Amino acid sequence: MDLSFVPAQLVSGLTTAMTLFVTASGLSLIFGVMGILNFAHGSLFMLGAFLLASLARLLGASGIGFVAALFIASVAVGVIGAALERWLISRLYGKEELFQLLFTYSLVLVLADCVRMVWGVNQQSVMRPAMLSGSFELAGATLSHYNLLLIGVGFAIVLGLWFLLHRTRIGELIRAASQDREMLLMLGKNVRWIQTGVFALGAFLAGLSGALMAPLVSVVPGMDSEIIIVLFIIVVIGGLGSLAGTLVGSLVYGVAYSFTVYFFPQLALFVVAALMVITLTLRPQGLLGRRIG
Amino acid sequence: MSMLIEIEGLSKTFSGFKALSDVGFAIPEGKITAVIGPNGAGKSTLFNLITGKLVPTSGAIRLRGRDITTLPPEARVRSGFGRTFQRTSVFGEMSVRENLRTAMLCQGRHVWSFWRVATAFFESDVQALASRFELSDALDLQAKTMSHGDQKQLELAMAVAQTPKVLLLDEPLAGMSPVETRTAVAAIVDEVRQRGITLLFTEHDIDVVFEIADVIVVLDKGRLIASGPAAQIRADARVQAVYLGQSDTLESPALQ
Amino acid sequence: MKSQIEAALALILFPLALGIGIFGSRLWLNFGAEVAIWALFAVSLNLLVGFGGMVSFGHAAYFGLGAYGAGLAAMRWGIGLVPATLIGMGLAALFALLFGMLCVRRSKVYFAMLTLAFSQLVWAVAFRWNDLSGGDQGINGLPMPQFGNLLGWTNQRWFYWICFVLLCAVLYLLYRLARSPFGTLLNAAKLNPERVQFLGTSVPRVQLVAFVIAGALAGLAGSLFAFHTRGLFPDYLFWTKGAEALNMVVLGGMNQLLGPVLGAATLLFINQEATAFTEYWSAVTGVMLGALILFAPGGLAGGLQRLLEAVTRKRARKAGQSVPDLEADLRRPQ
Repeated sequence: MDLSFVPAQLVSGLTTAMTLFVTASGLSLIFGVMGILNFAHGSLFMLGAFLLASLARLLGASGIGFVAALFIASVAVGVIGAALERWLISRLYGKEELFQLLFTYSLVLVLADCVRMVWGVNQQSVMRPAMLSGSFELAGATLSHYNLLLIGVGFAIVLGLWFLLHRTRIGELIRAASQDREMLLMLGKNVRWIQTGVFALGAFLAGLSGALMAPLVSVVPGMDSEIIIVLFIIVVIGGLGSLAGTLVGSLVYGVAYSFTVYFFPQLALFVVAALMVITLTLRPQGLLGRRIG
Repeated sequence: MSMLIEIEGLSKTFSGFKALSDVGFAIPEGKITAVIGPNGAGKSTLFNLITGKLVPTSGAIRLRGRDITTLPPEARVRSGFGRTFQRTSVFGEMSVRENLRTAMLCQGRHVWSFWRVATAFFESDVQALASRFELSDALDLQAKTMSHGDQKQLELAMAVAQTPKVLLLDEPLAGMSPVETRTAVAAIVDEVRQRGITLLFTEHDIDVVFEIADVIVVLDKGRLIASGPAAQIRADARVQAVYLGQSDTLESPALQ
Repeated sequence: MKSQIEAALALILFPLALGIGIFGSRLWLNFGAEVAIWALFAVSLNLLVGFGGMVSFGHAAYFGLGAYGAGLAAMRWGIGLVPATLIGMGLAALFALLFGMLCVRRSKVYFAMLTLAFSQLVWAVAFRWNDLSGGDQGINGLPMPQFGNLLGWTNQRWFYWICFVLLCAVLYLLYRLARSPFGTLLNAAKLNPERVQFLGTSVPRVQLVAFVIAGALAGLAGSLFAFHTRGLFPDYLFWTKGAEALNMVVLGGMNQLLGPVLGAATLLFINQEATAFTEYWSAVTGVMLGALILFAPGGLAGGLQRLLEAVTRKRARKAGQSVPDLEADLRRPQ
């Protein structure tokens, strides 16, 4: 049997996985610390993609311009996230889950139309900068430079998050906040800033992954609905609230999807959905999740 | 004395933390058994294992010889368990009447009744139950507006609504004033003695424990220290040692 | 108080509905049928959300499956309104059972995620399966239900009355259901699921039955919708359809049986007028939904309740009744 497709699909799967991890980690982090499922995460992803499309046009097709656009787009989404948290999301802490879910859901509706208002309904075209358009061969697979960038950033985020959570003071506070918010309040730590910060970080990650994906996917209103389902599948498989679980979920998704796309392109979505169903049946809290759902 | 429930080698580990290690004892039928021990001894874990909220890491629980170790809570309740919680668990938004009625509707075929009005069921039984627990005046009050003591009475009434074989009370006297405690203890003992219900409860109030318990089980750091008749436990040196240094029981006359 | 609000809502809506049926022009009959169908959809969703505390974001799936089931049956096999609708409902109920089994055992958050994920999967199938569903283009030209010229009424008038009568029938069914032992337990499971569990009832089982009932009723609405629009499009299955129903539930009031009906009428009315002004209807409903959640979660019906309470308090104070007594009266559960 000709296995030459394997390395190519693995690369493709890894790329998808690492980029999706960047997005999903934000979702998982927000849930882990604040207990809120951010439905608008897909919208923030979309915002990142659209911002990059415009900024890339503005800042030129050079490598530096592109990187600057990536940076600005991600930070912008992070700031928007912080604002959302400060003024809106924070009003929901302690309220019934029903209301929390309905509210972040209403944000999706608003953000979707905001994007339409600013950018219109047409697809945005995003060109990869010349510097990153090339490719090279590795172990029988063609790796594009852009793939490498995505995988690289993905790994950087994995390491960065690990370092942040396990090796810094702030990270300790974040982990403590996810365990017991009341206790932290009693200790006098400023929980509000942690909450805003975590949401901003989550939004930043969503925006970053959206910006990174922009040259590869169709940047069009409606991409928020697509991505949020994918994110849900990933966190259900991996376990919501656990970053290690999110990484595992992303890898499972990425690899399964890319291999299925090779053989049965139409069925790819259903294969991952089936994986989700299997996980739910055998291990409802996700592969590495805490027993919350 | 026949044993209603037998517990064998029960252990529970939570990702590395051994909450309970190899606990085994028997709960005699028709008697009052108390589980005591310092904070962190594993009393709640034991309770949750017996009532089915948790599944043990190892060990077995038997109800009249039948293995119920992995039976889900609702099935155990249908086998004759009734339970109250440390943090009073009733339907706050419903009236007392509705609370009691819901308790009676929960088991049996009424669950799948879709057409008849619920208020047509159990009206007289609800009233009888309410009067047994001195809640007749409160029947139309919203549960969450009642005093803490009254809510605990309601919860107790709900737990016995289906005439269970065994009643499990988790810190039934928590947060009660001395007066409320007296009333509550009298009500509980009355209820179980009259109906031959087996009672298992955990408590911090040692005086009450020695006053009403037939059998006492002592836990410390997840292990069984001693179990047996109250008088025997009172004189047990190990039990005294465990409680030495626990400021809330040091001066307790019950242990002198 | 609760039953008084219910009565108040009925007093407002019922005469309007009758008026449309008897005197309404073509336009009004069309609008009326649409309101009745959406009200049916929203009421079925509220059985889960408001009554059962189960936040389903994937209710559009059952609406759409009802539509496709009825529509395809009518077109492929040439059957009439009633059998087609039954097929649509059956299909919706079947999927509600299958998906429900995987969803109901979860925490609220997982339940929300999963219902949405499954719903989008169904949409994806309809979107791609060109042969069966017409793909992304959909199918046009569903035959209009014929009623001859019975009673001298047009087909349109007949269709409106059928939708209205079905809505009333379903409302009555749900009214009985809410007051039945099953309904009491479903509601109890919303208030305190652990207590229900420790009284001996399997909460997932009760919720699953509710989920299937809600799915079947959404399927009924969907079937009628297919005949109403005489077409089938994948966006009937898209999650935003469920979002619109959710908006109606929250706007009208999720604590009342008739709340979603009021919400449907209001939202569709505003929609008609507003789309002339703005194409950003999504944002408007999003802002409205968000504001309601934050400041008035009881919706319009809740506002009505507060109004009635304030009036009652004022009147009582005038009459000399002591306020604490009145507060106790108001606190009594309904």
